[in-house]
Amino acid sequence: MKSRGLFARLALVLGLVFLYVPILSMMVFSFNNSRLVTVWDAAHSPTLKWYAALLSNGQILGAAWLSIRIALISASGAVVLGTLAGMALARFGAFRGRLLLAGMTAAPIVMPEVITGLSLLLLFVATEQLIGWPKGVGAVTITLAHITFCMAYVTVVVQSRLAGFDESLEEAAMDLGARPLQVFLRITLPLILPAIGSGWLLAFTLSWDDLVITQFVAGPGSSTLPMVIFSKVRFGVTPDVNALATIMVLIVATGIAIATVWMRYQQRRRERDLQLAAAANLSEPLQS
Amino acid sequence: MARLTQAAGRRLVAGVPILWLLLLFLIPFIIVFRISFSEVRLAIPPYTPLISWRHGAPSLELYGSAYSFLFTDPLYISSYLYSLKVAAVSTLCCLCIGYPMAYAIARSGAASRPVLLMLVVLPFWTSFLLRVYAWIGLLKNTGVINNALMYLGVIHHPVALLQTDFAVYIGIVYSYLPFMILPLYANLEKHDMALLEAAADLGARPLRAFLRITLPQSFAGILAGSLLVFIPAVGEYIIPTLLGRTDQLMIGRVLSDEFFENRDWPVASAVAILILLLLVMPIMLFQRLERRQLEAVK
Amino acid sequence: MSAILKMNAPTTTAAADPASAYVRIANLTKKFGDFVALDNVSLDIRRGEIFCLLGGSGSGKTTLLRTLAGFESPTAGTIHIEGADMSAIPPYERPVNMMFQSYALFPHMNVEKSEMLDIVKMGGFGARKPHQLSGGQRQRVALARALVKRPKLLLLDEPLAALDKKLREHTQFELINIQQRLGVTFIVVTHDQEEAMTLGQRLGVMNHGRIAQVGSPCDIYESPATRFVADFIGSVNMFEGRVSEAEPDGVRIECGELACALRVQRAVSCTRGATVWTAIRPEKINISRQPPAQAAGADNAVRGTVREIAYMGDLSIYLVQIESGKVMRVTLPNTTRGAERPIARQESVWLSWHGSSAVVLTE
Repeated sequence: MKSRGLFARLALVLGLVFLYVPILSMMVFSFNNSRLVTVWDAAHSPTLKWYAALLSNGQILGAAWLSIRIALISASGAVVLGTLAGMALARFGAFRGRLLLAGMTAAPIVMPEVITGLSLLLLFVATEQLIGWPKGVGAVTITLAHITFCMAYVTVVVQSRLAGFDESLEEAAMDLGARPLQVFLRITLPLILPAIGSGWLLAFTLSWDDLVITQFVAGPGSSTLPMVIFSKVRFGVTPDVNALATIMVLIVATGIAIATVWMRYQQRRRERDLQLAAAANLSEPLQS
Repeated sequence: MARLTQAAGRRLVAGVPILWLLLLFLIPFIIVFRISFSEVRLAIPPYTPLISWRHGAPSLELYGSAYSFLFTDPLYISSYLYSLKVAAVSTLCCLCIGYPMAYAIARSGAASRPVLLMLVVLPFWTSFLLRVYAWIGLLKNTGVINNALMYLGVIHHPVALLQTDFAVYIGIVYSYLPFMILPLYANLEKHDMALLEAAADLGARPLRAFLRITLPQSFAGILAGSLLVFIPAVGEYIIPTLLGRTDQLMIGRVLSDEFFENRDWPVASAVAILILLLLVMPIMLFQRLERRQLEAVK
Repeated sequence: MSAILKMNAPTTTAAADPASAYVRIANLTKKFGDFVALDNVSLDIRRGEIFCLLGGSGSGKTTLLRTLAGFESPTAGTIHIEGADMSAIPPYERPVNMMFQSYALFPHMNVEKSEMLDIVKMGGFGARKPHQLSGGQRQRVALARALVKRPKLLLLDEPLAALDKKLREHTQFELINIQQRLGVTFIVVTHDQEEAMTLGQRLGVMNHGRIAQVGSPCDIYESPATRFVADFIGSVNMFEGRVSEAEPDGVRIECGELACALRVQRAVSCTRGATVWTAIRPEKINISRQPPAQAAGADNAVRGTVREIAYMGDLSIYLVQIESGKVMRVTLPNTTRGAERPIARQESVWLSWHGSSAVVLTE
């Protein structure tokens, strides 16, 4: 048993090294003076010149701003639709269209992106022909496409959260006189709020990061950040992309660190409450 | 009356996402399917219409030329087979690396488990594109790996690592590893350790206990993780484009090139339909696993 | 099944006038796909009583409760509460409240102050959240919440199942207390027969979506209507036989599984030659070394050999193999401390019982 535990632990360490070495090397070389990215110019490094170049690159900044706006709207739209779909799947039992909805929310998660992208573009071309909308592809069509594939993820997150807590909570509220809308606002929504929050973050990240689907439904003048990066790196390595990667990793790491501290805090509070309950158990009014 | 409004509310809650997905997910596929039976032409849009008017009467125009083209030009067949091979090899590598990692996390202390899981998931939250890009810097002829090996004297001339099958495997394994580890971990974590103790008690050595008890029990996790890697890997576009060979394309790239470079929409659509046909079994298998898992949560 | 369990048996039973039924369940059927959860159930509940629905898992008891609360809509049949049809009334408008098996306390809300908390002796706990309470306290809060709206009818789904044994016994009597003080009608679902007999003034035994029998705890234990009820409540020795003679005060039964003739001194409505089952409770059987007074070869007495003895403290269980090979279960209270010469395994003994102790069942 010992030796196998050792093997697995070794694999874990090596696996984590494998996961982090590329990211770390990007971060290190972002401070390298040389244009040659992978050759360390010891005489003039570290330097922040690539960060300066990045921050004065209007094309990248413009693309990043477009990506942020699209991701904000897409994540919010996906959360609304995904929550509705998750509610229906987790709470409505067998209804007409259930199988259809379940299939259509699960499929985009595993669907190869090239197919989703192609099909959405062909849809927009067809609707433009038929009803004159949308006038060409651009930020609007990108957002519609992102909402569609992001909502699938939100649905899964919300649905599994709903499946994880007792349906009798909602029944109890109804039993005590709350109408369905009140039940949703006062019971269901507060309980699935963590799932909605993480669903939103996931949707934001997916939208922010998407390249393949976006390429299909984007038009001239609507280049998102991944599109700009892709066209830069496709024909060689550029040091300012290293700087960009470093900034993004740092933002994510900071966010995760804050979330971890917050979760630790919550955990400690829960443990205190459990102790309180245990103490209450001892003073149970048995002989009243 | 109240019942009626409740029913109407439910219809609204389920109806809005159904309508959205019908319009932006299902109908687009029908359009792809329909265009795959057209012929390319120089017009806007660049394909023949489904129904044309001849001599004042409507006639249905269906062409199989896009499909027959796919089966006669060896480029497409070899791209399909190559994509399947790459996806299968990468999935197997992911499994071999991911299983021991998931196992080690599941068997580690309760305090370190969330930290380790976070370490596995964290790269997923940073850009997919940039993570693939990072490997260019590592793999190219003047890259970190070649430099290091030459510095150590292992090799004297740079080894071609970039634009090889190896680079694609590395890229896919690297990018999709969390998708393998997470379902495996979720499965392994639920195992009852008493079973292993019972096996040991009955005289099974650790390796035998692992092969006879842990491995069969984690089959659902293996399947879920493998499907989560295999299905998207078949249609992968970014990784082979940045890291892969130029003489052998994967099918996702072929689709994209047919569409953007050749502007042959019917052939691009036919390629998409054939990828879907290939993946329909694994996708349905995955959906069944998902459903069963959600029911298990209940 | 000691006498203490029956101390709550009704002393003054309300008039059983069906017209005054407080809750009337008529021909209620509920299907989930092909599965019939409730099969044409008709049942009347009286005002102010504690009615226990008793049954195994899948017997339909919880479905019946959920249909009363309005969470399930019946496939067929009606529910009237105080004469008002409930069919079109959603759960949030019914004069009915429910205490959930899981308690279903809202994890994100405080307990809050309410006079009902005092009734369940939880007055000082208003500011707590559910996870800050112990299991027993949660049970009380759940009860208080279900009573806050002063429902006419309270439905309790396994109210004591999550409590440990000691607390459960204590809480049973407290529940009865609260019910009598507030005068609310209780319908309690439980799978625990001791709990049902302690709490319920009347019981409804359910099986396969049907009501097998309704009656007081004593009725159900002493006069079960069917073989299922006799077997489900307590333990029983059952013999298949044929009616050989109908007498003015009872019947004689020929029984191949038993080496003696059975004489049952109870009014039984069955014809000569009919197949019947005779049920005898283990505690109603006498065990002795000497032939009983009615002598060998007489009615209601058989010889056998003790195969197993289980000492339970307050009583002992004897498994006795009679001459036909069938094993009978007999219980004896251990009334004295250390009997002089206790009956031992493999000893040959006589089993006997009074003619009024056996019950004849036709279905």
